[in-house]
Amino acid sequence: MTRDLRARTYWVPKAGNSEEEYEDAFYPEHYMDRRGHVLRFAMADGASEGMLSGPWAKILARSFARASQRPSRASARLVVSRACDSWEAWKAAYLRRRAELDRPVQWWEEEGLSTGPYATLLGVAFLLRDGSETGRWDAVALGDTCLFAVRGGTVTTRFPVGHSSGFDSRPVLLSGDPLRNAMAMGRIRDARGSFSLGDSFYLMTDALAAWFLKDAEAGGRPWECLDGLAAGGRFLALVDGLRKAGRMRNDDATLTCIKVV
Amino acid sequence: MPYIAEISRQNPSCFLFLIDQSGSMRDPFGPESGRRKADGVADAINRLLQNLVIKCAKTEGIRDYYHVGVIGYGHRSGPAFAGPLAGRELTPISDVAANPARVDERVKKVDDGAGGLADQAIKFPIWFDPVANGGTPMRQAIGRASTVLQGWLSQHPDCFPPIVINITDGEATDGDPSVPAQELTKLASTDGNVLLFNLHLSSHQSTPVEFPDTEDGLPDSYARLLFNMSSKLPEYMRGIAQEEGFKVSENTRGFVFNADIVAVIRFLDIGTRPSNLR
Repeated sequence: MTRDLRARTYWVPKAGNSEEEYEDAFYPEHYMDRRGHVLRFAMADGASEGMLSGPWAKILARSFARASQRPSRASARLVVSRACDSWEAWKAAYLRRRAELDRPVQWWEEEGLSTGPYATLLGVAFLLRDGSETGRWDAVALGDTCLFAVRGGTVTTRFPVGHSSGFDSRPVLLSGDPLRNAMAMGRIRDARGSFSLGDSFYLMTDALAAWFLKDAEAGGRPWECLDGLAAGGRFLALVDGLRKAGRMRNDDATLTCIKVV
Repeated sequence: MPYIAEISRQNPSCFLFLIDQSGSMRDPFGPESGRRKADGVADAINRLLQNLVIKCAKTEGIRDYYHVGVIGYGHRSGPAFAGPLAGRELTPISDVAANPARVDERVKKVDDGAGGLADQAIKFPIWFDPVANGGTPMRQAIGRASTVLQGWLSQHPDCFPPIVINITDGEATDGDPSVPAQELTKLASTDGNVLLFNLHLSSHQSTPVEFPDTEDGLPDSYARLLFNMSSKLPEYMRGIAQEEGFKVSENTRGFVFNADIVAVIRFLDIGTRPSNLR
């Protein structure tokens, strides 16, 4: 029998920031419970030090989701290249809008607009085979937005950050300016695997991912409280509790839970 | 005390700049003939403020992660901002951004995308013009910094510790500044002691020095005095400095001789900064 995927995404801005200041992005943007041959998920995390990182993260996530090639380092470069083209068009429209609104670019915005926005990208595609009990997945990543796979109570994939010590506040990220992406393009990583009934996958941005790995490294089963979320309010409470307990850095937090059913 | 407090609009930190505006700043600066130390001071403070503002900038405006003060010392000592900020000891960074004395236009070389460089006009805000007049009451200026920061810390007891950057030729005329400097760096929030960094602008024709971990090799007694007055870089700043290519050790101090101190702004952690952002 063909497997299905059931996915739900939760997000919360950094404490003290408004929802408008949230700079993570994810795809799909709505609850998903459907069949399909290839299902693509993406998550991106806009850098706090950067101008318009939120819109750039959205463009990156959508660019991955709309691509048709199997995720690989080579196809990811194409995704980024297309995203950079979209970014140029978006930025031109944004600047036109500013001019129309009589809100000229201020001196402090010039550098950020010139260097471009920065963001991570994590993309994963699930290939479901007709009539097959199993499927395969392929993922690409640049930065510290993570994919974890859990099977039978064990974390079987930690990608691209394998240990909680692997996070810092200075990752190499993707810029909207293609001229600034030479180093980042060389650091794109890919991974692949198979899935079957009962498997769970979690995409999450860095603050939550660091907590997840640390808890798992200490023998915990952090996915169990993620599986029990079901409603956005519970995610907010979970993140709030972890922040207050000093177990999670205060940052935008985004989680996509995917269940193979 | 680990210097890990989050810097946010709800829990801002503080920068206090001390700028030497004494008569000796008329003397030439470093190996560049024709440039005065006062020009070096004005350039350093303007670039520090510019970079700090840019660090806090988003398209919707400036986020007040920092409150900023500038104390000038020379013929007169005290708050040095002019215009609408005149007389203010500390003001939110958004006020600093909104109130430069003027905005000049400069030309910057940028990658033209075809392997070459192209000229790009950029706006360059000016808050301070060169000033060189009177003695060098550095002790007094550092004492005043202590008073200002005592007030700040009483209102922000859990903030990331304030950073004081003193830009001077080191030739104090009111006694040994290391005594009030010790008092200043004894002040603390719950997250750590106040940090004092020094930018030494000298007429000495020596090689520039950035963030040294020993006084050996420093060219004169003024440089050694300012080095020893300077705080050691906290562990997290050393980590970033190392990533930025500086050679650091546990004894590395926030001291720069005739070089660019703007790197300090990049050492600040207010969130994710791409390591490939230059």
